[in-house]
Amino acid sequence: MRVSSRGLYYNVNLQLGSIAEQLKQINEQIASQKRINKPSDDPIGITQALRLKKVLSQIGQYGKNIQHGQSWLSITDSALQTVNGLIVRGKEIANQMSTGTYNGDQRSNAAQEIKNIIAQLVQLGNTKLTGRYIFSGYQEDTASFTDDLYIHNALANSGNDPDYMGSATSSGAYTGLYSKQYVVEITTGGAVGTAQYKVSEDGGLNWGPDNAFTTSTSPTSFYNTDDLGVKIAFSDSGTLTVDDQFTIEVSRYNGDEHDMEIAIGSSAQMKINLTGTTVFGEAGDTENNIFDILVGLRDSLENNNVGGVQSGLDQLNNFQPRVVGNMADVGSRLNRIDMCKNILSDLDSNYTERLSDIEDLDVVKAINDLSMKQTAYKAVLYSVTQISSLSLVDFLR
Amino acid sequence: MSGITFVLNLAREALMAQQRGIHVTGHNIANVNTPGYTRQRLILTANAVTVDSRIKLGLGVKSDSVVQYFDRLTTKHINQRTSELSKYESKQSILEYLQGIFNEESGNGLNKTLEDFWNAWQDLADNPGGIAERTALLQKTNNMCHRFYALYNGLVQTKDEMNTNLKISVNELNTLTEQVASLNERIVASEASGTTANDLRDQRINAIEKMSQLVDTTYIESDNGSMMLLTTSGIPLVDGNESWELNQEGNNIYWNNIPTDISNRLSGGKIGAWMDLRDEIIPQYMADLDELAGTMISQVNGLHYGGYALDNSTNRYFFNPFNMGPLQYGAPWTGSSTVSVGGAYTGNATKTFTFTIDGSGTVGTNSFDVDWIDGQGNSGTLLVTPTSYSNLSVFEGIQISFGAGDVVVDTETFSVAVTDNTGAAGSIALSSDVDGDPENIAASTAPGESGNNQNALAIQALQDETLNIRKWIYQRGTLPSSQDQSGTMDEYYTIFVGDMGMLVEENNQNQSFNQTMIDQLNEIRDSISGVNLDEETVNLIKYQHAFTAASKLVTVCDEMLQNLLNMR
Repeated sequence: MRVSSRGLYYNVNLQLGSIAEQLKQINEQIASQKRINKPSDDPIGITQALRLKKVLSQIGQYGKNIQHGQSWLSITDSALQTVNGLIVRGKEIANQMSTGTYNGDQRSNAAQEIKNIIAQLVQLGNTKLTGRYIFSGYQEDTASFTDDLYIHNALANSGNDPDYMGSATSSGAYTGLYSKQYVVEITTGGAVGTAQYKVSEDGGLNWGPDNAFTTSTSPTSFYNTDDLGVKIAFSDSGTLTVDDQFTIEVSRYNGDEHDMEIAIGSSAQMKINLTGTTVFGEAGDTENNIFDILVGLRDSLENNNVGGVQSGLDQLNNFQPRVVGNMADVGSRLNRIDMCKNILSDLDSNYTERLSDIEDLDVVKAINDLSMKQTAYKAVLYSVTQISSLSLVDFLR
Repeated sequence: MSGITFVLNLAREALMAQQRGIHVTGHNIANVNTPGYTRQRLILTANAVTVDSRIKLGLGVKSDSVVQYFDRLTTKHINQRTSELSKYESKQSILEYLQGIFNEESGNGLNKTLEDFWNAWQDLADNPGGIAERTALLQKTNNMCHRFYALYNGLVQTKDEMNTNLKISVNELNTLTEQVASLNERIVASEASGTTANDLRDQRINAIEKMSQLVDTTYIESDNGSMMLLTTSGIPLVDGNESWELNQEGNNIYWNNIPTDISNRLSGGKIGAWMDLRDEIIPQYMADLDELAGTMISQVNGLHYGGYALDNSTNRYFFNPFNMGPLQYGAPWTGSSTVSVGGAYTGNATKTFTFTIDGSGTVGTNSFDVDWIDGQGNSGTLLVTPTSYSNLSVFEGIQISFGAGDVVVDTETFSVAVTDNTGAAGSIALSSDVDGDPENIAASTAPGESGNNQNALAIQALQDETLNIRKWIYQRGTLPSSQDQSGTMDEYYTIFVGDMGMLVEENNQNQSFNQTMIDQLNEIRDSISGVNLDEETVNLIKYQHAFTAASKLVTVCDEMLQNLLNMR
């Protein structure tokens, strides 16, 4: 084919340009150490890389969550160990004092130690992690336990009764020794003044007689047999209906029964807490509430009541498996979370490797390519000088 | 009738012819680097024969004409390819810029801020009462919103620049059409005598090639040398010495001041590229980005709205919520009624309320029913009576009103889309509920539970939730359409970036393909039309020697005459 002079130089330009462009790309890759520097370098690769980066970021976050869960569970575990130790000590005392060889003075000294144990248990119940009470359920900003029994707000049992209409508030100064759960049920419907109610002192097993109330503006002691200073007031705005129920809890516990969960994987969540109730026992369930058990033991010791001390020992023996069970629960959760952590770190290195495969540069290959292109560039330059020196004019005089 | 003077004359002619040959060769050499120059050559013919005593004698040489080595077919191919190449080249520069904005590899793109956003929700779930975590979440959210704006504004600005580019290109085109028309006129005039106007023709081809860089054109050459130029869609630009202007006003382009938009009939070249970018590529990216931002807003708000803040307040928005889209009348809509939709939408999901007229008559006179359905399982019937026809509550705060005296027709429909995502990416922002008030973030699902993290957990779980997000398709000349794409929000964006990369790659490939084609075609054309210096040098020597020989002829004749004159 005929070759024009302009075409010859034009082609040289094109060839040099295309090699220069490849050189630039390799140089860019070497500088960034990445094979993909913009989406068009490898559109499929970049979607994979972005997906992996997202997964890696999630894994990192799950790792963070898990660390948080670990510290939460670890502190729960150590609190439980101490609780267990205190119960063992309580058992020792009860065991010693239940034998006839001790006198009243010695028993009353022992009562002092039990009192200390109670105080320590309250303190343990208020264990905090970074300012958050770990045994309070969702009420993490409220101290889980108080030293004294506390009359909680009357709660409507609306779950039992969808037609629930009224509301009630509780108040008063509790004079009893043990935690309690009162249930108040409306037996005759109507407005304040017409309605009647009955009270159960044991969570709804046994009921007292019907009783009317006439006033709502101020709290009144409600009609019940033990009369430990609990008062209730019904709102006068609504109408009360038959079977409306309210619960009034008297306990040391201020938390709730919610589980604290963390995300340890995509749509995988894990519970990291134990509530005060789970650890220390339910309100009103005197024989299975560690505070009630110890208060009973303390009073028996103070009153030199050997039989009472003996039954306190039995109750403590019954309670201990609960603590051990909780410890096992926390331990197994710690194991699980450890396993998750290992799996995540495996996944992390796995995905990191894959990401590196996709976007990282094979430096050896890149340097190789670079020198290849350099050679090509030089070769073109050389051939240009050779060709351009060829001219008929040079051979003419 | 031969003779020495005759030979002398013949020598003169020969000298002239060889001189012309050197002239043409010189012209070729001089233009060796002139773009679009077509090699010329001198056509020499032997002069008519004279008969002298029955011997036929030639009468020397005659320079007949100067012709071009012109390859019509290849030139036409080049013309076509030029417009394609120019289109891809112009797109390439803009697309490279756009993908620079969306650079996710640098590690601070939208993808990264999305990750940070979701992780901040998990941090909050780990400590739902923590003000530090809440503040961090607000910051991360702001970062994400700013990334959205930056991307969106980058798109908007680039889109706006297209009209400026278009104006420049259209003006350039108008100058060129005028040029071609005037060249046509000069070529026709100069070729009337039967010669070819070589250099004018070169200029014209050059001008046409420049036009092809602006828009796709085709041309028809007539016998008198004039050229008619059209766009490939048939809009005439030049005919003979006449040319027609295009002018651009806003988003429209008019031909010869006829107020009909012809922009969709222009493709190829820079003009095609600017309009593809302005009307297809960029609006599609904007719409998709809007969908992502809009989905983010409605999904997060949907959960956040039902949650509880630290101060036990609820029904708070996390992002600024959206407004309603325009009312759409179903086809046919023969009623004269103009329905208006109002109220404050309290729902959070993107949905469309469709209303169907049940009964007919005149508003304010007759009673009729309006059935509504929201496409998500909710429906109901509104009773329109002669007294009650405005501000009728529908659902989730939506109200409709009819105008008194308007006519409604049975079974006809109208609809309104709520939480219209248009512009979402440019306006996504923290709501005034939570902006600056981290304690108002609703991490809890119940009041009075500062440790309740269930809502935060639910919101962070959105990142892995498979949703149907609309993916838009914009095509010049047709209404944009969309189809649902199933996947998580992060995936949607990942695909978005991948698609962009794919488009740039495809464009680069097309560009280099067309470049290669043009290079090859140019080579073919140059092999015919291009100047080769060595060849010209040979021609130069050829003419020089012929000139020398012709001069010798003069000397010989001179000596012969001398001899004759000196004869005694």
